[in-house]
Amino acid sequence: MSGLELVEATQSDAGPGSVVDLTMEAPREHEQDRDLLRRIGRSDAEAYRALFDRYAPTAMALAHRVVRQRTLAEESVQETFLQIWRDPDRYQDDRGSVRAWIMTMVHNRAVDALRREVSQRRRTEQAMADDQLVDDPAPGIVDAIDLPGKRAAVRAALGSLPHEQLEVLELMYFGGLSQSQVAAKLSIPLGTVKSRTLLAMRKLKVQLEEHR
Amino acid sequence: MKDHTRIEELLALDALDGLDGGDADELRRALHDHGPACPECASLRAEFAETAGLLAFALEPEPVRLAVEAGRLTGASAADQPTSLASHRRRRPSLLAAAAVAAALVIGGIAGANLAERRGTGASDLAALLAEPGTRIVRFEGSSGAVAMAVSADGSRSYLVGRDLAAPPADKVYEVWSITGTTPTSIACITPTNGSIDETLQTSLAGASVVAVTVEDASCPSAPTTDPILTATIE
Repeated sequence: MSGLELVEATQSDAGPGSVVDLTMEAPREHEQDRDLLRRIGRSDAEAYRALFDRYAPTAMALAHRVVRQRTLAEESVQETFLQIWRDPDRYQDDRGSVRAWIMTMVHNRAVDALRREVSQRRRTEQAMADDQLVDDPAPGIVDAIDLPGKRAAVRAALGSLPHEQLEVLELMYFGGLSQSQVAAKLSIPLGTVKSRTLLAMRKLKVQLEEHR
Repeated sequence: MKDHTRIEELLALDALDGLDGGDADELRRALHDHGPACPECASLRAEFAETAGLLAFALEPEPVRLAVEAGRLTGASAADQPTSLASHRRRRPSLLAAAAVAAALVIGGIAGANLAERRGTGASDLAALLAEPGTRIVRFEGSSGAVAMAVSADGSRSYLVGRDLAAPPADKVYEVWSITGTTPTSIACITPTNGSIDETLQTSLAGASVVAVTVEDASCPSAPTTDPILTATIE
């Protein structure tokens, strides 16, 4: 799904003008996550599984979107969650939520994988094989761990961005391209990429404030 | 008050993993110059990280092969699995490597184990078992370490994985029992290596309802002499 498709999906998910109120849920979710991390610090496997269930499917979607290759995406998710199991104390409360920490780690790893030359080769070699795999959405399982309200809200926020800002953000975050690569791909000055990114992130920050 | 215009721009790019060239160094220098206690820098960094972290939720969540089983850990049939490994195997004969990754995810969900620690015959056995339709992951409950077992659909084959296990006392071993009705049958005597167990069990678990682990004399008695330290129910 491209950024533009994400925007289109907003219409069907949230409906025009719909408001998703998660303001009462976000703090509780953050506190639950921090509690899970504390328990993981005491080698509580149940807590680990709870955190895994909550975020691995979204992490997998993100990694898969960036690297476009399922095995590499699984590796990114695997490495991230093993890191969490082994060293949950690396989470710093003042740097943001557990959710953001996890997604940042997954994205870092996915982007690293994407940019490694060896990964590029593997992607090429396996791309055709992966194209043969048919994703099974397993709707029952996905529904059980989904956060549809949050998804609709994020899509709505993305949908509110001007096209040129969405385009830059899409290539950078979901495409795993660096600022210079985005500039080259769109044939625009690097400074324009930077300014569009900043404007997009400022706007998203405001729009998604109640969901942070 | 220090100007944060440039830092804000760089942090926005950094949150999206978009920085390259000299800008990453410039951001490090700027943050260093402002100092670790700069509240504006901390706030900007956290807010952009939070915003970027939310973007992933625009995507449809994807099932994580077998790792979802790690979350549920017991009883999931092949039809319940997010993706049929058996059908993947038909489409891609080289799936074993992918299955091994999935195995690591499964075990990761249980014990934080690493695939790199289990290359070789054992990993192949486990990967092959996990690639079969109907293979179940059974988690042990108890007071020692983290232990799980992959059991084939008919119970004829199984693979035991343990992590963070305490070494048994001198001249003692961990003895694994299958329990059918009320009758225990010894199926393995095991001593962990560096707290880990990776063992293909040679005895069928068909018909067994419970698997238990006790600490026994190294002679491996034919009936348990102590209470179980770990038990798992096979559904």
